[in-house]
Amino acid sequence: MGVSCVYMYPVPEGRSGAHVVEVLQKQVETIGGVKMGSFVVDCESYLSIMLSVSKTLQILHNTEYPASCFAVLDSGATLVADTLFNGLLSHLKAYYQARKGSKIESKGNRYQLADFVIKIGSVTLSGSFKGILVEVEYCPSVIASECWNLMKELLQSLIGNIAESPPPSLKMKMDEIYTPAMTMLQYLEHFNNFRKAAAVSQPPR
Amino acid sequence: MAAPSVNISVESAIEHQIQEVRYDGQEIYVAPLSMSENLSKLAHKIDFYKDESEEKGKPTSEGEKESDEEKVLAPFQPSLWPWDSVRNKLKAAYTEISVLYDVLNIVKEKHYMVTDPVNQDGPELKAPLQMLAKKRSLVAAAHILSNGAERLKRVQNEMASVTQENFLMELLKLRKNWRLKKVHNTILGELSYKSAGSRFWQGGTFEVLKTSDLAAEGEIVPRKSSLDVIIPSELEGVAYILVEVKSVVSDLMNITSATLKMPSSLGPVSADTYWQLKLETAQNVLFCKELFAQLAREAVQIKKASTPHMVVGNQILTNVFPGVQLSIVLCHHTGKEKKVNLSSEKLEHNHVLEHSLHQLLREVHDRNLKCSAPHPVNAMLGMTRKRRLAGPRAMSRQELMEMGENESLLEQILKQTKHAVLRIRSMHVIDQMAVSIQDPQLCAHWSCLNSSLESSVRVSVTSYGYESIRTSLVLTIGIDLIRVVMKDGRVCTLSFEETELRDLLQWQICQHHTHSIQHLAKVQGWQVLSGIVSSGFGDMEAYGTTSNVLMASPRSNVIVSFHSNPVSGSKLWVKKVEPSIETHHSPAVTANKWASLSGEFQEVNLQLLEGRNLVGKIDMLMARLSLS
Amino acid sequence: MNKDTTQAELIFQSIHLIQKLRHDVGQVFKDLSDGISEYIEEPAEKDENDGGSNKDVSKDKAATQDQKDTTGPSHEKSEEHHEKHRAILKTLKKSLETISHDFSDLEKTGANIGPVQMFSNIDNLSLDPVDKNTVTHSQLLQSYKWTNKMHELSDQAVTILGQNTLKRTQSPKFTNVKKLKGNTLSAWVAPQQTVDQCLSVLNQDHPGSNFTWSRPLGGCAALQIEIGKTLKAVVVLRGLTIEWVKIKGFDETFKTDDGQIDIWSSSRYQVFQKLTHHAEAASLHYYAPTKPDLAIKSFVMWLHGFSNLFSVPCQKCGKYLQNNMPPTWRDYRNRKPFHDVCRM
Repeated sequence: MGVSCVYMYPVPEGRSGAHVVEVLQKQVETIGGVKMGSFVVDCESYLSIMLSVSKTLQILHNTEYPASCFAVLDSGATLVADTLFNGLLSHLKAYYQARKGSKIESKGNRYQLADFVIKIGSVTLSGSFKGILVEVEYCPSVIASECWNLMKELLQSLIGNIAESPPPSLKMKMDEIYTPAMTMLQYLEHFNNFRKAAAVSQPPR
Repeated sequence: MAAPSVNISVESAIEHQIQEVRYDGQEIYVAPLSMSENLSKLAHKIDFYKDESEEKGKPTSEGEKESDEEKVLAPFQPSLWPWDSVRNKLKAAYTEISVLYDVLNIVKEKHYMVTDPVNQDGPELKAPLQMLAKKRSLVAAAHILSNGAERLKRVQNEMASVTQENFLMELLKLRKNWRLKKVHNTILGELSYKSAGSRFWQGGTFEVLKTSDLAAEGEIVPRKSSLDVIIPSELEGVAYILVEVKSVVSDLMNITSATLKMPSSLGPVSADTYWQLKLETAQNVLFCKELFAQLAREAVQIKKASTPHMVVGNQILTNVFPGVQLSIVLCHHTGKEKKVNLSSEKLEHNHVLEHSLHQLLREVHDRNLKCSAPHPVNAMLGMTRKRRLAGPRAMSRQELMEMGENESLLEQILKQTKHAVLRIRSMHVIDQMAVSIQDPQLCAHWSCLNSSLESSVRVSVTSYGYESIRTSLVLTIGIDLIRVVMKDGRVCTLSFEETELRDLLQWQICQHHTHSIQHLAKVQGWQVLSGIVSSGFGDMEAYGTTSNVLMASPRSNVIVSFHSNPVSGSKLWVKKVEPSIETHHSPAVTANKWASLSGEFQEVNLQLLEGRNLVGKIDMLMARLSLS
Repeated sequence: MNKDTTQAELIFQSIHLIQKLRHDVGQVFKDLSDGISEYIEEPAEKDENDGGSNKDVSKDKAATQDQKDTTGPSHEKSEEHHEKHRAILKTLKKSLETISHDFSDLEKTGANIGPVQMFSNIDNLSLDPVDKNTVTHSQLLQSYKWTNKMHELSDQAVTILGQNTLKRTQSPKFTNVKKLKGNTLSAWVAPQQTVDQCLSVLNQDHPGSNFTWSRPLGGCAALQIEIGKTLKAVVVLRGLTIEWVKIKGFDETFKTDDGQIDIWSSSRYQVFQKLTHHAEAASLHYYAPTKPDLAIKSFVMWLHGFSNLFSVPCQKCGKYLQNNMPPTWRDYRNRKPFHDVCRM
């Protein structure tokens, strides 16, 4: 468990996402990262049917926390539960229903560099590539404000000026003890952005 | 009719004339004749039952005359009424009850009468009479007691003589410590560790017998107990696990040594040992068998080892370090084997490792048994509490992986053996060096706590008389490597080879010399020009690197260079920058020519210098040279 | 020097007087033994001689010479016995007078000789006629003077060196034994109360960190320190000396599954593994068996310097990361942060 920062890495015009991912991976390997398996973060949205104002419930999974299941409400309230929670959700069909084609996931390689864990994931929304998310985790520390400068140094060597300031959802909680739920909230924020962008770019459908 | 214990005297509120004194001392007073009492008294005289009594011929207590009449009538009726006397007595009793009832009623209603106790002195007894009575009763009591004692004694004797009783007692004792069950007419017991978490296939059922049955066949053998146990044949005898750490000269494993070795202290169990001991030995045999079976299975399964483990018969052989092998032998002595003369070969049994093996298997048993209940009830069975909370606490992949780690017994014991061997090796090296090297003193301080896989020692190097200059290092002895941390934070990792440790210590001693000299320079106001703890400069040595230091005297007219090398030893060179005019006679400078030294460095014979040790010698030399 | 020579002269003079005295006394006895017969003409001459030879020693000698010369013509006036008797008595009287005179002279010169310093038995050496020719006495005298001087100088040296802090040893053989008495071994066998007291003082001194300690195996205290929200450390103390140090991350634990303290397992993070090594080195540096409480205090203070492990850059290179590690070294003196490779 440590402090994580998730950033979106923009794909320049005229270059394929896979190529950019490859470049990033090579970069990580040159600074000494060692590939240690792969990772998947996925997210599914559930809509409440009973209520007049529709509310969404986001269910996220992260292979970094294989035994857990994260449920996030619109307000940001997060529930960390056992994987048995998935089974529970199928019993709640009458209240929450999965939104079709909302499954979004970030998938890629996981690198270890001393006490850092670097994950370069390509985001796919219902099967199509949407962008790149770079996560850097510094495991030994639990307070984001303490190790931010240190992480910034590594992040900037990797993704440049995108990592000028801490991720917005982390900014409020810099002095708290970091929890895995905070990572998931960062991912969720990026996923929501991707979804919105997808909705804007393809309105006719 | 009054109860003997509580005497109730009925008397009128105002004391009056005594009407009657009973035999028990009760006085009956004549009630005062007030108007109402008079009336009641008169009323009493009226016979309310007169009509009925006439019909039935029933007398009342008051009507004396009527009873007289009945007496007159009685001779005529005996044949007619056989129950007459009974009836009369019942009648009389009834009457008395009625009176008593009335009296009680009157007493209860406190209008007319009040009852209060009259204290009366007990009958005075004569002392001799009393004593006699007491004596008699005491004799009676004593008689009862002695009778009882007699009976108990008899029962005791019977118990001792009759085997039937004894057997039951023994069985009770057996039942307290062992699991027993009754199948038809036989009593079977279980001595395996299955109930304690063992999953070994071999059972340990034993049969409980009564020895009197055997004795009935003819020969009468005086036995210690009337209970005997029959142990399955495969568990007979004595067994133990022999753990040996051997250093072998060749790489060939010595398979022939896998013969049965039995120390004399562990002889075979004789047939008539007490059942408790018998069962315990059998249980131990079973345990050793399980342990060995487990180890042998693991030895065959584990493939990742660089040199495969070998299982030959009752022996497992593994390589600990090159040239050192660990052999685990199951020694099972049933008493039927031929005698093997062992006197030639000394057993190098490692008790500590045997104990850890036992401990490891017991831990496995314990883990098998200790399985927390599923929570919630529909959850998976056999999850530990930690694993259960892994989800909600969002445990990372790494933590979960660490949790799932499970090492085999053989790997664990191999690690422990490696550590034990390494620890003893390094202990030897340090001790040897501390004894052989006199000049800087080596002092090892072993940590008071160590685990079976890790221990640490602090080594400090000091020179006599210069104790405040200290070179110290921590050696953490792990499984197959030694990590050395020096005072300045440098970390070295050494392998299991003992020469590496020796080299390192020697290098540290050289460094200690240069450090001490630099320290001296500080004290004496000399200027250190350069100090290199491991310089590549100098002659080629067999091993080790030279530490050297170069410094100038306070007047900077003398330059001293000191080299220390583990192989070629310490050397000191002196150079005078400007020839001084005044001559001096230092004990260190043996000839006049040193006074006019210039240019070249000249070596000083350190052995001829005065001083207890090297540092002392150089201290003296520097003190002398700083004046010139 | 001058005084010594006059002294010697006086001694020489008195020795001479003693010789003379002895001679005179001898003469008296000789005269007495000779009797009347030999003394005839003496008195007149004796009178003259005596009158002249009273003061000067050299003349005295000449006078005795004269006396011997005058013994020759003694037979010439043998008739006058009475005269002779009187003369003999007179001579005796005269010579006794000379003796008393000489004796008073000797006394006078003797009084002038200054008292010689007493050198205990060494004085007697000079009286020994055999050693008169050897130089032992003077040599001894000289060496005595030397030792006296050396004693004085070494006393001064001790006071000067005592002020010098750069001592070379703490061994009681070389320092004041009384000062060290009582706390030589206390570092290892400090009673539990002392340890507890020391630790609670430490706890108060460092409000940012949390101290707990237990004694899982009796004597040795296992001290657990939480520094900020950065790290946890376990320190095993034997008495008050540090025996074992382990550092782990804030999210790691020093407890085994069954709740017992686990001092052996290492941190899973490289940073804290490195810190453990550094802390071991520091425990060697902060080692003072004579002042154990001070040693542990400074060690804890040094350890406390890691509270900003992740948040300060290296003093030398100004960067946060070097080899993907934060500055894991703290200087022993000023606790400034350095990377492991930057500190040299």
